[in-house]
Amino acid sequence: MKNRIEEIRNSYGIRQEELAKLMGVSRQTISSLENGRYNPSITLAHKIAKYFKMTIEEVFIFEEE
Amino acid sequence: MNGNKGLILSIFWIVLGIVLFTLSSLEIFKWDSELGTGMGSALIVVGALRLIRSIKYRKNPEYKEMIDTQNSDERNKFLHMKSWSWAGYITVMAEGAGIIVATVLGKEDIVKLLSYSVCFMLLAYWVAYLVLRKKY
Repeated sequence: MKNRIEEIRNSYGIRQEELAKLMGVSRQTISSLENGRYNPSITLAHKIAKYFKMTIEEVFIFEEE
Repeated sequence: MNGNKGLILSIFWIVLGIVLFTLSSLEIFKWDSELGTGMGSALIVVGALRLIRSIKYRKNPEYKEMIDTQNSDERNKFLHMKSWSWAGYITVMAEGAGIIVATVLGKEDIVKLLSYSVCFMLLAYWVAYLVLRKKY
């Protein structure tokens, strides 16, 4: 699943460490999410989308396999 | 493992290590004294390391935050589960290979032992699967 976290995060001008702290996860988790190596739980996806005042679909791009 | 629980557990390991080391050194029980003192020393070292970590956790807010984040981080939990899953697969595969090698070498006892181990792991897997299927 692709996502726009890096792009949106940059537009907000916050660093990975800051976003990680706000989400209660490690910086490595944010990095893995941005690289598409790790898919978040629905809870974390919701938390991230809510923080950016967006819907989950606006942040995460679902692709059928 | 943090806070009071971690502190108590680390003290427990140290005390257990000292008791084991002392009993083995004095040869009070009839067991391999070298093994006993070795295990005792190992427990003391493990306990001491855990104690240091526990004290650091209590005194250093940054370290506490880092450990708390690590413990609650969902990717970390995912990696933990995945590692156990891989460890299980690797063990079964290695034991399977061991059974073949031991059969070729005619080591029946080892074949039997490894076969029981593989059977137990498969049984444990199915029991876990059935329990989890009901839970989720």
